[in-house]
Amino acid sequence: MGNMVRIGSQFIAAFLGVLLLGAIPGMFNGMKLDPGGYMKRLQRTIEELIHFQQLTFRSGNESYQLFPLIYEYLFYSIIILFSALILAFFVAFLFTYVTYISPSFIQKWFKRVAFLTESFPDVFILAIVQIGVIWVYKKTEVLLMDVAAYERIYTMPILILSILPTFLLYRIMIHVLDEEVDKPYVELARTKGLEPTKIFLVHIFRNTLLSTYFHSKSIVWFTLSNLFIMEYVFNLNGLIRFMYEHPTSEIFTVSALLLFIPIFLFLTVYQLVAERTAQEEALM
Amino acid sequence: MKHALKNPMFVTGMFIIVLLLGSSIYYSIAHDDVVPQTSMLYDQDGNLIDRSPFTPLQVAPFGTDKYGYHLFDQIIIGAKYTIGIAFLVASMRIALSFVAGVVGGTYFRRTLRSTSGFVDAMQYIPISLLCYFILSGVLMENGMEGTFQFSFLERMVFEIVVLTAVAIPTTTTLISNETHAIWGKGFIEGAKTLGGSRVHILTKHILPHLGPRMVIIFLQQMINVLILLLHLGLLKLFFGGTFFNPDPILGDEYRSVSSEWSGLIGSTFRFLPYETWIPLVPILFYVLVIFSVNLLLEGFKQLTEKQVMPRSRQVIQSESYKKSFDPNAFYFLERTDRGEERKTASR
Repeated sequence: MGNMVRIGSQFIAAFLGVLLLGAIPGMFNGMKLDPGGYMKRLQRTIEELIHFQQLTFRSGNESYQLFPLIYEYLFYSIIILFSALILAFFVAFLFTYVTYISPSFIQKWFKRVAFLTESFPDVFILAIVQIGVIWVYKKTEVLLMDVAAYERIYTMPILILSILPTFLLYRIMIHVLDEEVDKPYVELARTKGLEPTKIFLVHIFRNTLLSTYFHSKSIVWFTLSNLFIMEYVFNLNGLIRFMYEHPTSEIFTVSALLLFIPIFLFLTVYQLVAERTAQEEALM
Repeated sequence: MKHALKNPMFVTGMFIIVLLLGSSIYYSIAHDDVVPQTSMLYDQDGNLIDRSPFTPLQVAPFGTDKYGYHLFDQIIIGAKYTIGIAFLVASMRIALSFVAGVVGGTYFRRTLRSTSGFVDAMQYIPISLLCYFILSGVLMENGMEGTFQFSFLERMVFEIVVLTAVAIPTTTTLISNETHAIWGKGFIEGAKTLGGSRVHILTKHILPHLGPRMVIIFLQQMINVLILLLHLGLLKLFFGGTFFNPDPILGDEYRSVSSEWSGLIGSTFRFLPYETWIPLVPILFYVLVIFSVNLLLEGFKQLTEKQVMPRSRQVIQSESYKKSFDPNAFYFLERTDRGEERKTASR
């Protein structure tokens, strides 16, 4: 029960936080700080939010209803975000397993490559992808990704978005691997004759869940930033790009709240699972 | 400090950054930030072969952009802005968050916990988006009038302030958590028992422990700022302001006021498909700088970790294990009346 209260209060606190953040552009009158302007903006935003069914946005010279159209944008971005994260997790885990069973000089190379790729900003990956798509097109007439289309595409964005989180997660998992391999219970299990694979799959996986729990917020946030830039560069019809193109406080706040809710749920579920695993692991 | 120079990663990272910064500053002094321009190429007989933009193969070493400005020189000029801004903003972030975090972690734990919701909320919004919202009013040139509302210096200061401010809540929380963790360590109890005042413990024990972590956080912040600048550049928000030229024929055009790298990348990104080198070369340099800071970070981590004994298990095989057993070395007592003696002993 205490868990529910804690989670509930976290939710409310963050909800209010997003609300407060959305009105910040109202604080700046040119370059001067204008607290009065901020309060007015905040007030106006809250009023508009209460009547959220009536919110509109401008496109060209037309005004359109924000709801329920905005849900499409929301689902699109959220699906890409979560699919990319889940994909990244499993691919990273797969790589970690491959690293585990590889001889040590291959392991060294994996680690070096991971270190190198950690320095790649998302823009670089996007540039490479663009160049790659065009190069493939020139050679084979196959257009892997149609950047001009209005239709919503899923496969390529998910794949591309998952690249950087995969490296990030891989680094964390390798760290866990290195730490766990030295621990006494691993040696014990090995002497008992349990297959290394089984040990790995059970325990390393559990400890990975734990470690990523600590970093989970920043990983999601990082991927979200990547998604923003990707939506911008590839003209995807996602919610974040929508926020960028309609930079009013109301739309910003509403969109941020809509994004926040699924992400919060996702993180909470993940954290609960991780905490449960921590208790089981602590009993080891 | 001396062994810092022996760590190859640290040295390499440092070397690259110093090289870039140094040549950039030298360029300013020697050439006054003027970019050489080659609009047209002539062959030996004076015939016109080609016009800008030129590939790296035509004009060494990195080619030119659409107007013939040499990319190499632009990159060198912009280096000091990009690296300098990252360094400056990261330093300010660290300085302010450090003070707030240490004080907060020591004295104001309760208040910090209640404001954590606000800080939490910032984790759900891409920071580049947030900065874009705050900055766009000030930094974009008003296309209609063709002038900026605010002077170059004002715009620069404003951007630096905003870039610093957006990271302060999260960094302060980070540092206050670290501080609090150090306060909870065992030896602090000892110091308190011995009668040290809070301030004394703070300066003599807490701060030295925070030191290495501060460096790591600083370097991480530098990378964050670099990436943030890159994103803002892509969103056409250039440092020092954005020239905006709506051109119905060639397409809208944005130019950066300074040659700062994210500005170079942002304004030329649309050339990626066909004149690939124009945005790609600055991007590669960007990757290089981020990589160098990562080297610095990794090198520093290795240096600080070496001071902790590595927990390696070595099999100790000493000769004494193998000595043979000499029965005459022991006195064997007879177990005769022991039992009765014991009976009387335990009453």
